[in-house]
Amino acid sequence: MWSIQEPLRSFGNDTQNRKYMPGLINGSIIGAHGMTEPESGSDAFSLRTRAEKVDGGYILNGHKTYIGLAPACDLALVFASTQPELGGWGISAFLVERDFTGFSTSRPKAKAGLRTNPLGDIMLTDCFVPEENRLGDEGIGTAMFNTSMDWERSFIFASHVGSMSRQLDDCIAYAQEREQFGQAIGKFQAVSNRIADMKLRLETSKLLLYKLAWLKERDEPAAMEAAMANLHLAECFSANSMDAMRIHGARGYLTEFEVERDFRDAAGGVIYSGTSDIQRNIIAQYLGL
Amino acid sequence: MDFSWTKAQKELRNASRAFGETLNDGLAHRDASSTFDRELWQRCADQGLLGLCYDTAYGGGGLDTISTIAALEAFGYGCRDNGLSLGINGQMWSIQEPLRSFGNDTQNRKYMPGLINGSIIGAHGMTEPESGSDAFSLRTRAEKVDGGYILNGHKTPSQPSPPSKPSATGAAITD
Repeated sequence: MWSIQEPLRSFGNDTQNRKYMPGLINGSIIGAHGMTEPESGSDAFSLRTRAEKVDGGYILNGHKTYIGLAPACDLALVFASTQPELGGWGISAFLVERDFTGFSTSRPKAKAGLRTNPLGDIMLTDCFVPEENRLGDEGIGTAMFNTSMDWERSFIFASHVGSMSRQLDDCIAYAQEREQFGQAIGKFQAVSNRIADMKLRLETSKLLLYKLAWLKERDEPAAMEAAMANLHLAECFSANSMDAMRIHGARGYLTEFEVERDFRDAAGGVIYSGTSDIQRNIIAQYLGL
Repeated sequence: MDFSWTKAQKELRNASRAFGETLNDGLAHRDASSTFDRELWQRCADQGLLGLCYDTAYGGGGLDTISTIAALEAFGYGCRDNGLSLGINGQMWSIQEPLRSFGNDTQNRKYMPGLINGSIIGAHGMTEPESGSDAFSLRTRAEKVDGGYILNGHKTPSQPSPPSKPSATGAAITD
């Protein structure tokens, strides 16, 4: 939604929207966002994928990696350099269909968490993309990426805030029912204070998320707010998941009780959509530092 | 859900911040000498801070809670005297608020105007030498006598205590 549909809505022409949006919405098309490369992660605009202009379109060559949903995607939004000499200003965006010759994806990569969401590579080998599949003008890639990352940063964790809420309910129920030393473990401050901290992280996360939705709805600039929300939500989900595991003790650590999964799933949040450190850099930059 | 300030709230914030900035002179000295400046307290009262959300009938501003907090936050931005701003908030939330919620009309008419206009400074007496976090284990006693109560006890550390007149939960009267 935030890294494919949102740039399509903002930068796509009517033909492109009519062609891809219904499928993305009705589930028949799965989209992947192809930016990261083996040598360009946080330093995204140093990408090496090239799009060479030819008659009627472009020839794309490059290798995208750590792409969410890549192994399952039907369509990829691929960022490639049309004018390498311009650096970040020479990047353009392309809607590449899986069926295009020269487009291939890797098998899903094994990872610590979010295992139900396949992540892998996109390989582009002399892949011809027709001109009508360029999203926006040539050179707009950087602006588009920044815009779509703004949406992604803002809301990629929206459902994880719900997860934190459910996780807290589970922890409270367990702390009330599990007894040790003759009383419910929730009566021990070591447990109850931990749960109080979890609640505080949840509520501060909600406030940042809701305020961001409010700002975006009003079309107000929210790049710093997006970075703050992304940073806070990722770190809070991670911290709460660790706490949930501690509260459940050995049960929390054993896979069969399904507590540790949140811990593994949350861990990626401090890395994807911009690492927590990059979010701090963005915040600092908006503060004039 | 609305996270924006209204025009009136923005104006109130600007005014509160600007007012707060006028209270900073000599703060380093007041801080070093642990001085409570009653004149500054009076100026806060004159500015309407203590009455922001309280009934206009008692000299208050009759404002909503959000506007009140907007003003108090902005005041804290302008005023670097955190002790003073704590005192203002302390009186509002721990004296005036229980008076408004639990006081009868006579009590409100008697004390609220003074608390708002600065002529009465209130202190909140709960903590005792032996009851801190365990507040309800307090030892101060109020013995019922004809027409009232005799109070005996010791409240510590209560603020702003030295210059204050009434105390909401118990004055240290020794019989």
